[in-house]
Amino acid sequence: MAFNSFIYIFFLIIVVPLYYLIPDRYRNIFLLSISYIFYAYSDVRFIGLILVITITTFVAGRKIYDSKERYSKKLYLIIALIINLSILGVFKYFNFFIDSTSNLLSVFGYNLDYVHIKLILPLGISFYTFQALTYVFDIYYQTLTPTKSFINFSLFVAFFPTLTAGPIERAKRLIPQFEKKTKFSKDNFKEGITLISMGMFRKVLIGDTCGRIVDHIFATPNYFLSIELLMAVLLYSLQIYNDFAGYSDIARGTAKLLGIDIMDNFNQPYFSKSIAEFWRRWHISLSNWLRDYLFIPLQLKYRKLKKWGNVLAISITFLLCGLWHGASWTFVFWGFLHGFFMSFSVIVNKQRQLVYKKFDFLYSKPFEYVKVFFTFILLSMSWIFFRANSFNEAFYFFQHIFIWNGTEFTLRIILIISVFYLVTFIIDFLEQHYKTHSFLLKFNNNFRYAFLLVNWAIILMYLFTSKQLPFVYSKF
Amino acid sequence: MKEIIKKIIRTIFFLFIIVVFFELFLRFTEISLPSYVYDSPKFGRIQKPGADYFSILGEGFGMGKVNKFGYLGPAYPKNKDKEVIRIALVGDSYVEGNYLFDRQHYRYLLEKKLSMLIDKKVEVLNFGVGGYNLRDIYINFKKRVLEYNPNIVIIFIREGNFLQKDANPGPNLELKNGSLKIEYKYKNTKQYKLRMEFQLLREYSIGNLIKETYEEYSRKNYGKLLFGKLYSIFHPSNNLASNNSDSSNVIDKYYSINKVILEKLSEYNNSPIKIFIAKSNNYPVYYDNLISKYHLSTIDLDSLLYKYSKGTEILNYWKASGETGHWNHKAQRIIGNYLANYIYNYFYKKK
Repeated sequence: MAFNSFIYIFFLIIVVPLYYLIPDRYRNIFLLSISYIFYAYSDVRFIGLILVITITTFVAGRKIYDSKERYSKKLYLIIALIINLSILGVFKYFNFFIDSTSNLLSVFGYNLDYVHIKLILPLGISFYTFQALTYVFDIYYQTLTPTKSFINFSLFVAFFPTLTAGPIERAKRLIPQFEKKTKFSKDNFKEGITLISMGMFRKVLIGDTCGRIVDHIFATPNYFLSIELLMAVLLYSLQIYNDFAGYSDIARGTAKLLGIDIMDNFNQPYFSKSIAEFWRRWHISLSNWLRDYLFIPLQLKYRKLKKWGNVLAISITFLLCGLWHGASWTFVFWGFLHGFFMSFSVIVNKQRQLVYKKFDFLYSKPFEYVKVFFTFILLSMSWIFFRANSFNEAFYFFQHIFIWNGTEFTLRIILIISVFYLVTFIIDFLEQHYKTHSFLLKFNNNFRYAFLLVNWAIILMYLFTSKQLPFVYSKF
Repeated sequence: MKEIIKKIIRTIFFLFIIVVFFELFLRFTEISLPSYVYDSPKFGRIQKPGADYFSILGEGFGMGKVNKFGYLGPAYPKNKDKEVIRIALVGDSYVEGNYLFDRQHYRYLLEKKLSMLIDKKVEVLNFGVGGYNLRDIYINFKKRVLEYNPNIVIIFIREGNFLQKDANPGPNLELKNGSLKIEYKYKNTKQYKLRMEFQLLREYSIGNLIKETYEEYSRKNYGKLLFGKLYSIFHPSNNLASNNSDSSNVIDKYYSINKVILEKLSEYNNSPIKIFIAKSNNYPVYYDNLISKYHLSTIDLDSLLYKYSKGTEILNYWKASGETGHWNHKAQRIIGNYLANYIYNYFYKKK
């Protein structure tokens, strides 16, 4: 069930009041059933998958905790990892690995006779698999005590606001909230509605409208001129951000309506002055996951290599980060690029500090804007690999984007891009200024109600008259 | 009391500010532009001179501007030089092609290639209007296209154009004693009056969005949109049944009038204006027989596209959305090249 659909709005209108009407002790069972219904709406067959992941992770968590010896703890952790990652591997990466192996062998003259398995990628599999894994990791690292309630743990894995595209929550944050009694709160309700409204604005009016233009141009780039290709690249940067940030706002808003607090996934990422800062502001739940469960263990493993150990840990982390996003070499290359940018920064760190000491203006405000601008250019260029269906398509963009080819509509195109950027900038600026995504609550009541009224009217009319695009990250 | 009035005024003020913000946002990002078509008292639904359009629906992404004379493509005035070869394209959305940039449209390709082949200036004018049926197309041809002095007119007709009901209120053709007469009764219809009320609203982006919402609501196809899969479960064959019953009723209703239209077009067989019927898909046999009977020249685009698709590639498939609909970019190229070669071979090669 997509957040940007009428059925989801009806779903919320029914679920939220029922949740508060039900006696407290049945609420989690109710939420769990609702979450499974929510998931089954996309494809009922995948319920089995989520159940397998839930049961194995719950049992493994218990076993890790109960084991006295380090060896046994490690064994149970490995078993949980193998089961979870195998499910992810089969559904998401099987055909990719078979194709890649076959291509590699054909270079050496071997022709592999192989079959493709026709599998539908289960919605949100990368998210709930990683979310479930945090549970066993945290128990293994002794930062979490396993829960005794199977219902609460199942709800942690399948909680519908986070099920399809995160944020990838931690058990130590979410499970205690399920264990507490929740009461209807007017403040939570207001914040929830505000977050959902802003999320819908981002997704429906910015993300989807940019997305439609981007989809058409990326599908047949050879029919478009450089200004239109540039438009596709610049609007894709906005689409992916507003689509995913919009999703996260709606997820957080929905959880708030149920009295549950889930983490911020975005913190104005395009205001970053470096790629490293970008990853502290973009898809924060995944960045934290990769940092805690992949980068830090790797960094510790390669600590003897000093600077180069860091470079190695960063590179491996980002290659896997790319692969996590999709079973394609273009995603791996996108991850490699980000790893390269960050590794380069680590390698030249000493020299950079010397230059900064020499030239004071590098600390000035205007130079910070220059850094933001160049970081954004790097990000936009790397998004081309993320969006393109093949390397050829990505290179086509790079070849043609810089050969200026305007049309009679150049000014209109520039205006479209500028207004989308301006509106996104205003939202991000207000979020940063008020230090909250629900900044509308800081405004005068009359203004807020007027905004919400018009915003919803426009969104509902737009949902009614045009086909909506799926969330970009729900495909991962 | 004073406080309540203050509050009301403040709310109205904020509402106004926010409506203006959304109007500007929708307009400048072109999410929803003011309508580029309007209801002309003379022609019914037709493009508005000078209006911008922008399309990002399932079938493609296109931007354009209606020229100052109210048709698509470069603005060529009614009078033309003797040396210039002028071709008018007439039809429905397959000719209008608002889901494309003009340079991707077969209009542009035809103009470019034919002028290269015959080494003369060629002007191709696009008079396509989405939603037109054969009666609308004929009125458009008689009342507007002929005023532009074309040497060649290519009328694109699909099976649907013969069978379609009037989608919008506009002048209509009636048969009186075997001859065609244009009627303007539509001005008294409820639908026309409603559209007139919407006319001012359609000058605004928000207004146009309201109008589109109302139209979608009037089509009564919103069950699936609102209730998603649940609707399909409870109404498995709803749409199919209503579509089938609709087309079988209209075939007989318009046959006699369509027959006279084709007969009237055949009267141009001996005039300086050459008319071609571009067959965009298969017609019922009785229409094929009429076309043969009246010796109308036809260009078979259906067979052409089938040949190029080699029976497998779908040339109305749009990769971005995965939907089928109007001719895609590749089909436009094929048609543009084919029409240029066809006209060259027909008129010039023999000489």
